[in-house]
Amino acid sequence: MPPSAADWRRDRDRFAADARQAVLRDRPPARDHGAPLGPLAQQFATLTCSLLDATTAGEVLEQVVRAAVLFVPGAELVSVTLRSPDGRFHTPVETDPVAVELDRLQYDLHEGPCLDVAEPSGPAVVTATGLATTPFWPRFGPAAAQLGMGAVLATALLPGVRPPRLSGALNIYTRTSSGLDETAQAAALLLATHASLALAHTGAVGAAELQAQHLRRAIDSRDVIGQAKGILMARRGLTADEAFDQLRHTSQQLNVKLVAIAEMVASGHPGLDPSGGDRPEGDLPHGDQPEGTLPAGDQPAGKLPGGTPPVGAPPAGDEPGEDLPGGPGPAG
Amino acid sequence: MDERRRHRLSRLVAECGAAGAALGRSLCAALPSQLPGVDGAALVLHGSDRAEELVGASDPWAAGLAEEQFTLGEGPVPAAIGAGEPVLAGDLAAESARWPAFTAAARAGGLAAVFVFPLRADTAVLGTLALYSRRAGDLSEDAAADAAVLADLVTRALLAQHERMGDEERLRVDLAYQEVNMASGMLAVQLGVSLEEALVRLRAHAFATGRSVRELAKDVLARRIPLNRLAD
Repeated sequence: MPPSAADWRRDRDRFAADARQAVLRDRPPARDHGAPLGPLAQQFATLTCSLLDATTAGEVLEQVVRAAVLFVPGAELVSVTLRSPDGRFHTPVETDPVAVELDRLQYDLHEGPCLDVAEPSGPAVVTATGLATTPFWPRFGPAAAQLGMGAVLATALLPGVRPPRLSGALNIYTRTSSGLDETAQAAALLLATHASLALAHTGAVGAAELQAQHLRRAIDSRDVIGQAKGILMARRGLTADEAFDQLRHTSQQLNVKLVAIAEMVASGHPGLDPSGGDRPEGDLPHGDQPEGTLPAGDQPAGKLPGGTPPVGAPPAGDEPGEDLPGGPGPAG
Repeated sequence: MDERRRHRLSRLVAECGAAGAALGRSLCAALPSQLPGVDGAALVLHGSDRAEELVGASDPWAAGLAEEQFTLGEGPVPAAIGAGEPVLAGDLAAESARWPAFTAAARAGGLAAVFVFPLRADTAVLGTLALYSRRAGDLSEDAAADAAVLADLVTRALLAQHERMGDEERLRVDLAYQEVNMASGMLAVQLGVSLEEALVRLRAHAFATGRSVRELAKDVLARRIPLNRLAD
């Protein structure tokens, strides 16, 4: 059942107390004051600990956008905007390529929610429903609606104390135009605060470092795509090009990023399976796939490792507890 | 460094950048004539772990030296990545204790001195610019300063180029070592081992037979290598 606004407030207050204690004592937050934590607070506690473990700004931001899709009711596309001191904007992390496009529109049009909150003197939260007709951003609103968006919620990331003092925004987009309610705003605010603290914790964060993270991820992706091609070549007797076409075809069929499909193929490989069987659980069956599509095995498309939910998937708000592999699990 | 020199280097990188995705290749090709005492250059990018891309090399000799280090996992390039600092070896003969396998192989190929500059973005080390020389001797101070500046300039150019690319384009980047990744995937299935283990075996077999891991990978992909050779 989705959390009520009252649940959130209770959890938030308790969590704030935890965070204060953690800052005062300079150690990871205590997870319990004797009273059992609510499920949300448990998930946040786990997230905080993993955020504090993150050593680079890029890791922190990756975790935050992934967590936002899980925890913020209604969140469908999430990204982070960073504003460098010279006033330039960029998007270092995102859960969906469309989010990058939405951010870029705002940078190009010089208007939009993420610009408003990323302004160091701007508001902490900006939200708007009915993007197609919103009076706030006469150019961005309709352009975002063109891309299928109904509502948006942008929450400020606090600038770091030390140079380069990047400020920024946590951007949450949804396709429904009634969109993101008070509960979502509370959750986003909590996440943005955690992200700001964790960013400060990682020390100086440069835009170049984040770009470097981006490039490094691309190198890793190309690696895993090569490995997946090799696996398909061996399993199915395909050529390299046929293997790539198959990966791409599946990616298009399922509307999941090609690299996520490749990761799935690579991680479903028997060498990682203790039984070492020829057809381990979740691996690709031979020959019985329709029209050359790689079936996703027993993994529903919405739960691919590192993947984004396909278009038309139910909004995350319907299943707030949905557990992505690799995502933060319940504390314990 | 005076403004005029810095300007000249910026222009060099910008001109090579006009070649688009071939930035690394054209810059490496230009370097031997720009930096006195340098006979070859290679630019390598690193992912996390073992992922590595040869972005450009001035000639097959320099490409081979980069590949040698990728095969062996030792040499001035991995050292510079690890340290995040330049690694300057004006006399490779004196380094055989540090990198025994690389020194032997590279000297046999005519290498006498090597100078490696990390590609740094803030605290992150993205890769290396390696300069290779057939004659022993340190780089001149000017050439070393130029090389350090060039490493910075090319880092920025590569990052900017990457930010501009679309997703599909990023995946389609021409990869020198892609055969190695594919061969790892194939071997992992055929031998029933993990991907990491498959790469370790490829490297070990390449080393044992005195070949580059890339040549061996091509044989694996063409199914020219009996699997039992790699079985353990």
